[in-house]
Amino acid sequence: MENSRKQFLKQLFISATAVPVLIEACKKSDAADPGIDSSGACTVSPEETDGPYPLYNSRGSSIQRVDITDGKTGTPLHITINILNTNNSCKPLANARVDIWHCDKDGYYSGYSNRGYLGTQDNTALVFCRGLQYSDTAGQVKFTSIYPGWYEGRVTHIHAQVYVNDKLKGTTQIAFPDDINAAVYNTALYAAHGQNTSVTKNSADMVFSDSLSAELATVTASETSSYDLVHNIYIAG
Amino acid sequence: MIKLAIRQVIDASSTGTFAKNVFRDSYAEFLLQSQAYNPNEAFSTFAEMVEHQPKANSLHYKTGFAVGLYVQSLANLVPGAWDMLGNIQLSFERHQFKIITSCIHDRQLHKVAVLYYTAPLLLHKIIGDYLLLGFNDTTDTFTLKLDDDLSICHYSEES
Repeated sequence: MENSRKQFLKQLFISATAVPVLIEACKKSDAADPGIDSSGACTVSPEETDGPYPLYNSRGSSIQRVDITDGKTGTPLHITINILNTNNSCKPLANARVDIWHCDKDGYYSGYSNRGYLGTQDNTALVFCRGLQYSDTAGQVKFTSIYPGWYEGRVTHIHAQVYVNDKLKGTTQIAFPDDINAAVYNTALYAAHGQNTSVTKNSADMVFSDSLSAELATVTASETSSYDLVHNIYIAG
Repeated sequence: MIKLAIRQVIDASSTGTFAKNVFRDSYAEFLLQSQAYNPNEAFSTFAEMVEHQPKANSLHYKTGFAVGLYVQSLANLVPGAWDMLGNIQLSFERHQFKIITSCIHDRQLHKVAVLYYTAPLLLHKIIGDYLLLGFNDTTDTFTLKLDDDLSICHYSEES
């Protein structure tokens, strides 16, 4: 009886093995890169891969919110993203849905089971550092988060995706200035992981190297141990 | 000691506020999120997207987070998961959302599942199709019928 019970249970257990973890290299998207005009001002933001860690939402959404910190420790980061319409003289685009997501200070994403320098973390049931907002009449969305860490193979970044009238208009990424990355990773909070030794600067990053000027955010120290990030995303609305 | 996984299948014919909300919002979100893996609407079904672009598998959880607040509103009680006498409703610790089938042109083909994972339960006996279960902090027991939507997802011997 005991043996048959165990056998039965083992069979059940085997049939319910864990969902395979999807680990993919962060590759450049095959989608057409709109290119960056040398004069800069108003061209569609570069199309980038959404990476292996995107997640999304709606009315029952657990990530439609301004504060996306979810208790994660890190240097506070105040994010402002302006959505500008290349089809309307670069004017602000209201009511665009903007999804953002980034890793925590140790380089781990929520929503996935992922590997990092602290070993494997199963974050499938968590939604930290993910948010979505709809742009206001000034074309702006704001989020409160923490300064992202880094993980092997990538420089510091935030993913962003923009929908207009339920149509996906752009998937891009936001870069941080090299010197500020270095300064933040030098602080006590980030010292355990330290400087990014795998990709030391934006120009060496596989995503940003050919499009950095359009993807580099303006990041300034707003007060002690806090940063403001402002970035424009251009969408053909 | 065991943990159970209970599957709730939700489709166009599902009734009740929770199931209807999950169906409606997960389909809307699927239509949004699938665009990243279905340029020019080359494919109609979720299965076709996954076949041609394995990254479309991420639509399971991308879509699932759109219903996170609905799941939260269940207050950790698994919908419809009662013991044989209808006295005890199973509670869950975490959940997982899965797309079973979907089609961008026909919402009637949208079919999803919410998997609920329970806290540890004591398995005393298996009696036919029934599990005799109990909790750690009481000697009370209850019975639960095995069916196609119930699986034991964790097992360990008592120390």
